[in-house]
Amino acid sequence: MENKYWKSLEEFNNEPDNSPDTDKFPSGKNLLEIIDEEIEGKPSSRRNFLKFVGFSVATAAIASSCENPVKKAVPYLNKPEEVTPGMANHYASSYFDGSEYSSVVVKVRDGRPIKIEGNTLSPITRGGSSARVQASVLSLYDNESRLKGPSKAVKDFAWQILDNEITAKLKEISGAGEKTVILSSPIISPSTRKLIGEFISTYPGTEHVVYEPVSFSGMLQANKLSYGEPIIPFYHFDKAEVVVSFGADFLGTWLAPIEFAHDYSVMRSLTDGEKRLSYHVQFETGLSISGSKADTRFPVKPSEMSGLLIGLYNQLATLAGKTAINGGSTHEALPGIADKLWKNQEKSIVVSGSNDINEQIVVNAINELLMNQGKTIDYSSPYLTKQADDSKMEELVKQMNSNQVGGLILWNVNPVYDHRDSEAFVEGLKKLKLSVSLNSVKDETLAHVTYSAPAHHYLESWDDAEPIKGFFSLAQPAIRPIFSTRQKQESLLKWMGKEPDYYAYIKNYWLTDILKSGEAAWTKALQDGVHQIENATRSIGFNAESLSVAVSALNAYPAASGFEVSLYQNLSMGNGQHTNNPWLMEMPDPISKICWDNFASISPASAEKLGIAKDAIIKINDFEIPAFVQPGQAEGTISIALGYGHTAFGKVADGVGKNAFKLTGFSNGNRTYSFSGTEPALVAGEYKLATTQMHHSMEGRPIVRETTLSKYQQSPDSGNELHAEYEEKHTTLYKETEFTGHHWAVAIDLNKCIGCSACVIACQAENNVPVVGKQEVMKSRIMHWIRIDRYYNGDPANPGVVFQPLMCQHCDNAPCENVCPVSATNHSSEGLNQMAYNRCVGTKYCINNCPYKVRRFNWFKYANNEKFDYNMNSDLSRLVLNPDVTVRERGVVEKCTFCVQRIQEKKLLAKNEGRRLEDHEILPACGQACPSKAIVFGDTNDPESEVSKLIKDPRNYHLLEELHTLPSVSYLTLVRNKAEEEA
Amino acid sequence: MSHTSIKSGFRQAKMLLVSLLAFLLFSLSSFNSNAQDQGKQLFEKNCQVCHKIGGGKLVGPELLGISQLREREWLVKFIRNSKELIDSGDKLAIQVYEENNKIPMQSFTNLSNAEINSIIDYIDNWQPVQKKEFTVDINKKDGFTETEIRRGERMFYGLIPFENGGTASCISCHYTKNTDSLNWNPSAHDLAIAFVEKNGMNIYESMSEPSSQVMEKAHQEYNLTGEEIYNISAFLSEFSQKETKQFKIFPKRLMLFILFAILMTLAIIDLIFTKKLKYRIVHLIIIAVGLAVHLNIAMTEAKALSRTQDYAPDQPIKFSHQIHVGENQIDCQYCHHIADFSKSAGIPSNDVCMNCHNVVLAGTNSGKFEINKIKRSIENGEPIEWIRIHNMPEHVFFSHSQHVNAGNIACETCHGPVAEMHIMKQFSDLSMGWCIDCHRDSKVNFKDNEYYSSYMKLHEQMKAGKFDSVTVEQIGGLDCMKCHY
Repeated sequence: MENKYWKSLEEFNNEPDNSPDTDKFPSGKNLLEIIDEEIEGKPSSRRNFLKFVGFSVATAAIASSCENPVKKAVPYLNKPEEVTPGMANHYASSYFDGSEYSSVVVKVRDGRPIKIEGNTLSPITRGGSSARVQASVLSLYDNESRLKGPSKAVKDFAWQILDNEITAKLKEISGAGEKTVILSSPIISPSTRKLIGEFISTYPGTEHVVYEPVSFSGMLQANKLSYGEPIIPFYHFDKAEVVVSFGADFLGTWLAPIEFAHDYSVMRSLTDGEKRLSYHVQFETGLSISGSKADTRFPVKPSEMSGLLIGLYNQLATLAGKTAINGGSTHEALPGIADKLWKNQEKSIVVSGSNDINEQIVVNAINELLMNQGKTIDYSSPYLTKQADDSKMEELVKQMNSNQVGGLILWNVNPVYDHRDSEAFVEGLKKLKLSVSLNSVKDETLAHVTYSAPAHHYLESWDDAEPIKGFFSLAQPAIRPIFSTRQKQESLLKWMGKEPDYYAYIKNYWLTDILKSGEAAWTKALQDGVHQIENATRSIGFNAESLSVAVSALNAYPAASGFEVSLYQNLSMGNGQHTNNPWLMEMPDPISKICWDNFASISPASAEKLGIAKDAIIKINDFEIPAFVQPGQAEGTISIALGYGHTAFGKVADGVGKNAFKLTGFSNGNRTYSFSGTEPALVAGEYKLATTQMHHSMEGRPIVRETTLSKYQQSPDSGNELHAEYEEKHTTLYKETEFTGHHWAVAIDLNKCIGCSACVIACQAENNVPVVGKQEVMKSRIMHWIRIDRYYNGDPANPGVVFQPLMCQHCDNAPCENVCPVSATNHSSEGLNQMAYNRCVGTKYCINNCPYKVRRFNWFKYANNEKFDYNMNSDLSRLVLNPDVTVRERGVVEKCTFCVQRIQEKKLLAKNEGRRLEDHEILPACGQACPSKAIVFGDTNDPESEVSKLIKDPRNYHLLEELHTLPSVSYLTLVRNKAEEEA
Repeated sequence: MSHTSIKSGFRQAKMLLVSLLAFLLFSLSSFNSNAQDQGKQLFEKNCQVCHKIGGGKLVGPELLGISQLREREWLVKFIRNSKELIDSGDKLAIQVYEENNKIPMQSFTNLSNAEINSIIDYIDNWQPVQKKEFTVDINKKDGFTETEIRRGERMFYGLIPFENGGTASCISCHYTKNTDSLNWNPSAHDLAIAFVEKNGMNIYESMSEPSSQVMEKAHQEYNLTGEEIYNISAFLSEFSQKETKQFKIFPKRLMLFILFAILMTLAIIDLIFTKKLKYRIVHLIIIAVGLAVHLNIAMTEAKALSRTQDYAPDQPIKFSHQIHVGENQIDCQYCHHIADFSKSAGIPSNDVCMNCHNVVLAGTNSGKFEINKIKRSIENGEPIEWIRIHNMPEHVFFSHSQHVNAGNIACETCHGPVAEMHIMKQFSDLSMGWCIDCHRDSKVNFKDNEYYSSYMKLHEQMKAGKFDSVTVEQIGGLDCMKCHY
């Protein structure tokens, strides 16, 4: 392959990457000099050595005469029927944090949830999950940030008195004819919506306002103008031959990425002899994972989006023989895109991530021209997860400040942190007669409200959800409440003077309103976690008038000038409500590979113009933030991730990064997440970001294999010619190992992997992988067993991007195994590269000899260590640890085991049941979590298994196969739907 | 009717006389005539599992005043063989059978007429236990004065004789230090806890009305006064606060080690400086033997490092596997029932114990004291904290299900002759070598378990006659990641 791949700009420019080195060694010195300095002036090391030898012998002698500690075995008093010590139970539940929904299965071991898995029965998420869903189990055990009980004015309080006082105040407000406002995140629970309705009739004058920090308000209103209803349709990416996205990161953060990732991957799959591939074009400002997957990507400024949309509309209108509209860009690529779209009418999707009504109306008009409604865009099963109307929130803040509001109940919202004008909101709060927060964790808003009636974590609660109309799911508690908290709905019931039993309420609601059936149906719905009602298909008419109004408004927008700033959500933090989760905090961003910070992405050319180098800090208006030169960033733009810069959110979140919500604006009745007319200035000083991008580099060898669709259609092994060559040349003097039973293997389809990093967090949760902190990450000591390598190729202004998940390759001829002096790592009879921690003495020879750089060394004791005060340093947060996986000691090497604990569990189950293992019965954590099913695990000794078939696929190759390491992990080449000359 | 009442009246008079005599002679509170004694014993042995006197229905009906309700002749027939009576069409018998959920009463053909009559007599004459009255406050559990405590202590240790006699002191049975469970008597600490804790035993009641035959026998010659019990309870309440000490035996090996260390040092000193012994061979022998002993000790100790073979700690309840498994033939998996499908074999929860101990109220050796601990634990809501005997290092994964269910290995293979152990001990050394040895030799159920059909290559080799059975080793039983992950 003539394609040159690179991992960082330093590598591209052939500069030495000195970031890790500077941390390790002071410049200009070699290791011996440093050691000499270290021991200078200290007593002779030989004598010390002898002292230590003598001491350790004596210690061993004393230790040997010591008694073993007495351990207790405490049985149940009355063993619950369904709990078996040593075995896990799985409960179906639902995850919804106000923006992202997933149907999940909670793995509960001895009464404590330890892992979240996707629910394969769900027709929406289909067993997929995201990094945030995977990490949500850890926040259950957040000892520090979760509220332990009710409080008044930040002082501990009793539930009884709190209820009495709040009820009295509610009555007083309602009696005086004033209003109470329930300010909530979107509520997709149908029973809760009914309950809120009842609450409003109990306290007349009560209003319900929905608030979202990152809202879809513009889209909702656009659809109201276009179609008469403020609803968001379902997008069938699995039916879309052509996808054009204008700044919508639909695989990462836009609307419903878990569903879209699955559907998108269906159209990107080339296995089973499939020869067709969808075509994906992405216009965007900052490089997103959707942009990385796109066949063609155009970096554009936020202000150029409207012109491009109108331009595309005009091209299509011409093809359709309709009249063009005023204005619009004449971007050179538009005719080609319009042509492809026009050929794929009813089989295409055009989406925009903008929160501007007018832009969204043009998008609607484009999709109408393409007749996508009812085919790929379905208004009969709309999404219900986005509900906020930004103007109502603005109005509320005004009303609060003009004494028009009596009481405020905050429901899973934190406006003091994420509202654009938090000072006004705080001022408004002071004027209220009653302010109650139902949030379950401490946050910036808590200090400004009178009462806190903390809610349960979702794993402790009953709940239901209707993310898409007609698709219901249930959530059930998987653990008894850890703290003195109370379900939000029960708080409302209590204040309404009703029996606070939400379980009874929800069950009754389901039996009468959803299931319309008996106990058996309820039990089944609870067991499955999901329930579906068929929606009548319908199409709704498009109001063409809305378009002309929108276009004239768009043409009247003032011209943008100067630098443009775009604010986005990244994959780990989202809108910032999970920032205190150390797993997410340490998850490297799949594009920049930076963790523990947000930063201002700036394009290489702009950086050069402004004189921005590595570690620079820039100032945007009054906002200081570290800069990062990001290939693929649009010229003259800056992208900043939201969700960082908390001030009172917990020890992990506080003080990390900058709060970019302050930069959000409000115009046209909606919040805006971009602005123009700024000139960033360099600020004195430097700030080091923790990046993992050059860690574990494989030094420029042909690791990614890529081809184009047309070449693939001619010969399926295109781009992978080397594979056949190496296979042929493989000869060895040694006897080849024979695997008489199973031979485990993984095949990863690079076409399907979208880089979402759900696998990284799933692996961390399953395998007790420690969090090491920013300083250690900067020293290349991140412990993740699976990493997503990101490679660029081509022009740094707009590079091609490839994601490659990399875990231990379980080589059958492993270079690590034969260098271990104590045989701590060796090969199993099932093809696993085994690691015996208790045998490892920490020479790290294996790490040095591993060509894939997948082994990790425990530089410290990460559990029970004050210096690593994340999730393994308190009794409560250690409850999340998987009891079937050893917590590694200091000084040993660790790595991916192919989730051997899961292999053994399922093998034993099959043995006990006297049957063969089924394909896909064993799912490693990474493969289970993957929303696009890119990671396939199986037994290659079973010729019928999916993995065996994938290994025979002409696209299949091994990493560094020329080394004859015979890895068990293989990859399928990336095929892009690009024109020949572009490749 | 009148006949029986006269008869019983006469018996009562006789009894009164006898008991008065007994009272005068022995100043003991025993009321029992011989016949009564026999009736009581037979009742306890045969009837009380299903019947209560004056306590309502258990499995069978309430028996208080039964002889006034039914004729004695019929009763004897019914008790001897109720089924025969029902089959013969006796209306009353059928009625009784149907009233009691059609659970037939066990037949007692082994009992003579006289014996059955003695049981009925016992029931007729049964009277609720008269609680002894004490002048001191019996509910007082703390706040004793120092004098009371010290006096109690001296009584407990046998330094002050009891007023009403009794040869041995309390401490001769109720040790103040924890010892092996073969001493079936509760230790002093156990007693103290039992009396002091919530829902605990009443020391006055248990001293005056021994709850089991074992205790009655042991306490036969003691008749403590209220004040004595009061003082002893004062001592026990103080004692319950103290921690018990384990008997520690000074390790012989360590003594040997020190002895030879001294000898060797002396030998070296003499060899170099003092030179009192002429023959240097003596020094050399001492040093050589000393080194040998030291090496030997070091090696044995090193091998046993963190291994706990033969570990047999004192458990909170003197539970005997010998009685349960050996004598009563209870299957291991009746109590450890999750061993079949879980990695852990499971310590039975209290409700499993109560399945039997609802009716088995007293043990042969320990009376009611140990069994009562289960009940008290339930009443107090505090689970029993057993001492774990088999401790695997944290990096070892062991699954009972794998061995018991898939491997079909008998429990005794690893746990040894449990049926002979009063005190449970760790039978095997649980070393890795021990595991590996077994994995090398054990055969796998290769042909019959459908799971192994995926091991096609091994099946082919087997057909080719290379081997006739497959060991655990051949299917990867020696892989590190079978147990370490």
